[in-house]
Amino acid sequence: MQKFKVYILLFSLTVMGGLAYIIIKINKQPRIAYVKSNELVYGYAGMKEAQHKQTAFETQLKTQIDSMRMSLQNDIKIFNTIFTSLSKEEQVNQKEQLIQRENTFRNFTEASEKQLKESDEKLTSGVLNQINAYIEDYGNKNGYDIVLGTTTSGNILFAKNYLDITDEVLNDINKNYNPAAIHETH
Amino acid sequence: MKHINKILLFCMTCFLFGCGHKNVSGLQDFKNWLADESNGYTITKSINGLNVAVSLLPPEYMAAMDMDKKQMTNASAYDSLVSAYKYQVNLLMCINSKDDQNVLYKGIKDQTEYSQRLNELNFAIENLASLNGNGKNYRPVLTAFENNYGLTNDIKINILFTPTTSKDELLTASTLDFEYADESFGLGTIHCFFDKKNISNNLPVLNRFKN
Repeated sequence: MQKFKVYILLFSLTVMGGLAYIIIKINKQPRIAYVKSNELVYGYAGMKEAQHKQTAFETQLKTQIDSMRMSLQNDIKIFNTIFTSLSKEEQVNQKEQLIQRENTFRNFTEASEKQLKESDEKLTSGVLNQINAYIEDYGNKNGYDIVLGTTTSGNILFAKNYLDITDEVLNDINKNYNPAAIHETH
Repeated sequence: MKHINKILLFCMTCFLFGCGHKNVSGLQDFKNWLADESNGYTITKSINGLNVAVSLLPPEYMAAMDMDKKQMTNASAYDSLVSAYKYQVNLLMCINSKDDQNVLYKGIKDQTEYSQRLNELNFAIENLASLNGNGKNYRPVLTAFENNYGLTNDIKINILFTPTTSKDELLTASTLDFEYADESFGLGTIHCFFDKKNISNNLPVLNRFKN
């Protein structure tokens, strides 16, 4: 009888040990979540602000370009109308002036396009740097080992919905970005 | 009854000392107190391997700095300096690298980029920084990039805002939103939101300036 009790005790200890091992093993598994990158990037208040700034800058440059173009077109029209009434010297002078203005206009348009591209790159890289830093911080604070991001090239083909933390991250990152905007919306 | 009086006296003393201003002996202690984020005067953000700390410098600290520079200890001079500094908003933006590299050279490929960065830090901050208080946008009236001559790895920029009219609400605004649209370090646009509800009223007092 005594021997039987010892066996039972040993058996119980083995089972408990096994259970403890399984629990530890489960807890040691990496904690994984994913975010929908597109939703996160375009829902981020910082991105919206950057897009707004870029649009304002684009509009400002477009207005300048349009006004230069209209003025140039108008002067070409006038030149063509009065062309026959001008002396040969005036014709050459005015034509040269118009060609010069056309070149200036072309250069300005090209420089503007370059400026727009550079500004877009700067704004976007700033926003992406902010998102990356935030995800790293969020992952560390919430005990995630890996946070994946879905892309259009299909790096995640399937994942359960409970692993999707896009909404939590988006709410948090927006609150963190500019609490003033949250104050204004409430 | 005798004991109750003693207990009450003890509680009152504890209460008074507990609510009082903390006394600090030097400017560095004051600085450390301001840098403690829980006091609400400093907001830190980490982006792109850099830490950006923006501090709202109270008039008392500005006055103490002035007094320290001029080696003055006169309490009335301190009070008048505090009153003068109450008519402006002083901010200090400090950028340092997480890997202890010199921020000034971070990501720089050649002399041209270095010159461009220095130019931006010295002359372009006033176009990149702004302050929103009570729905009004303010541009800095003065920005100063502290040249450290390579002695430290961080960079510091002092930014000063003042009310535009005598009836301006900048100084009484309950919230201040500092915005910095960075172009040098890939930080993007940063917002630091100072809510006066979260700012501690118990500013430390420098012992030597006490009346």
